[in-house]
Amino acid sequence: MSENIVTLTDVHLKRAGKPVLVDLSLRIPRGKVTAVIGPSGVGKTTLLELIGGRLRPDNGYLLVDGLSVPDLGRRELFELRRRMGMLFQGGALLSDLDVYENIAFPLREHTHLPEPVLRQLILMKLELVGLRGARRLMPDELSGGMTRRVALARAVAMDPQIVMYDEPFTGLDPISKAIIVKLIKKLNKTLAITSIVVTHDVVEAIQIADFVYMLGEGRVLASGTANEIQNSTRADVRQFLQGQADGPVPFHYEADDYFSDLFNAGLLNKDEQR
Amino acid sequence: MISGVRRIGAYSLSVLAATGRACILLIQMLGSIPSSVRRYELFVEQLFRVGVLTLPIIIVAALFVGMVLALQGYNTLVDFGAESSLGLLVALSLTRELGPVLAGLLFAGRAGAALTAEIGLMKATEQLAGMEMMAVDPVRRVLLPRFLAGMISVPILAALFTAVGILGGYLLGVNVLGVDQGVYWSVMQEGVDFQQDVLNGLLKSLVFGVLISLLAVFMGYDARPTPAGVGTATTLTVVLSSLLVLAMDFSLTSMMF
Repeated sequence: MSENIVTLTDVHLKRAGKPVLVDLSLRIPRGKVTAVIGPSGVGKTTLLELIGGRLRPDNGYLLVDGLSVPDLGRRELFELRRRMGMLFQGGALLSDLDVYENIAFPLREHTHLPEPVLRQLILMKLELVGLRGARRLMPDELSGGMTRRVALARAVAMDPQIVMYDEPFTGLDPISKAIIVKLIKKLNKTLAITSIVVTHDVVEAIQIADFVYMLGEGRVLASGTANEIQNSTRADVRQFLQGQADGPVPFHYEADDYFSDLFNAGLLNKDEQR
Repeated sequence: MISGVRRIGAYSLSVLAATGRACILLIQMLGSIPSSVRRYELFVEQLFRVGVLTLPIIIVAALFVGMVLALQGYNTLVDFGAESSLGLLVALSLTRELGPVLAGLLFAGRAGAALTAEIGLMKATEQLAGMEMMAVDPVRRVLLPRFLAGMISVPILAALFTAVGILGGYLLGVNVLGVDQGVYWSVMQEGVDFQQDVLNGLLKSLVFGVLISLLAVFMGYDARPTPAGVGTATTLTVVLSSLLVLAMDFSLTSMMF
């Protein structure tokens, strides 16, 4: 077993003609919590889609547990995904099944366990996230924090090696955030799971991560332990950590000169004429 | 001028591409049938939701259509002293045309729209993506049972539509208009050919069933994952499947009869 469970080497990806990832190289150590932080729209979620094999890179190498993901056939890819769990931002719970059946879903699809065993497994996962009592609720009866906890229980239902968290803290109240932070740590420890946390919540990321990558403009701006990142002197890293509106990451979306744009009404450019 | 032509070209291309994607989806679904036999309970569940729940609207509509047929047919036939043929008129209209076509249209409105909206919303709320990440193929798990259930339901619903319609014609023709009940049934027995009329009618409805169900699951699966996207897809399912049913009906009729 190599030390790194996920390795990206010079990965390049374009979407709708715009480069999203530019020569991205990073390594995710086995059994650790790795946070990938950075502002919205720098390709963090894209990174998870690449690792999960939902997207293929245009260039570069991507190894997960020794397998080159872009070269896998459909069957092999599905085989690999059984060893991965993913927590979606919105939970992605199946809305016509209750909490219990949602967690049962991957188990029923992939195993032939007898019902009593299945029940024990599900209750154990629910106990882990503290929602054993909520097993008969429907997804639309859950609060945002509970939804994410159920989704988390489902993500680990198959005892995966890797769990990917897509913005696990976004839109949660402070208590729910603290619960999720605690759960990610706990799952990582008790189940020896490799966790990849993609987030823009710096405080939480630094609390849980063994290792942090900061992305910007499709590449790694900085990497290191949580402490090293916090003490970074790079201007773009500092801007993000301290939450300043303007800096190396500009406030304005790329545009023509403001003055000429305002007073050129008579000479509308081609895009606007149509 | 040029931009108009360009727009027509772009639109035609996008329609062609969508047709291609729908065909690929059909092949994917058919290919995954063998490995899904074990999960027949998913199909049964959809058969209930898509087929059985459409029954009330089919029965009520068929009853009225049968009665209207009897009323209109009687008024015309009586001028020629041919009101005894009422049974044949009602039965032939229903088995050949009205049963399959109206059942198809009603199915598209009731079940097709619901299928598209359901699948589209599942896509918009990342439920389909979530399944994929759990190594479950949504085409096999979600789309295939719904497609098969729709495909099987339409011929059965069309047959029921025809049967109930004939009963409706009987109710009005015999009980209200005074056609002899023995004659109502015997002209039917004489004049309706099993292969020519009944089987061809069923074949038509099977074709409609495939068309509507494929369109419904495809539109949902292919929808833009936004509220407006799902809305557009649902509308398109109803509009396109209605138009396709009518157009297909014309070509099938001209080939069959």
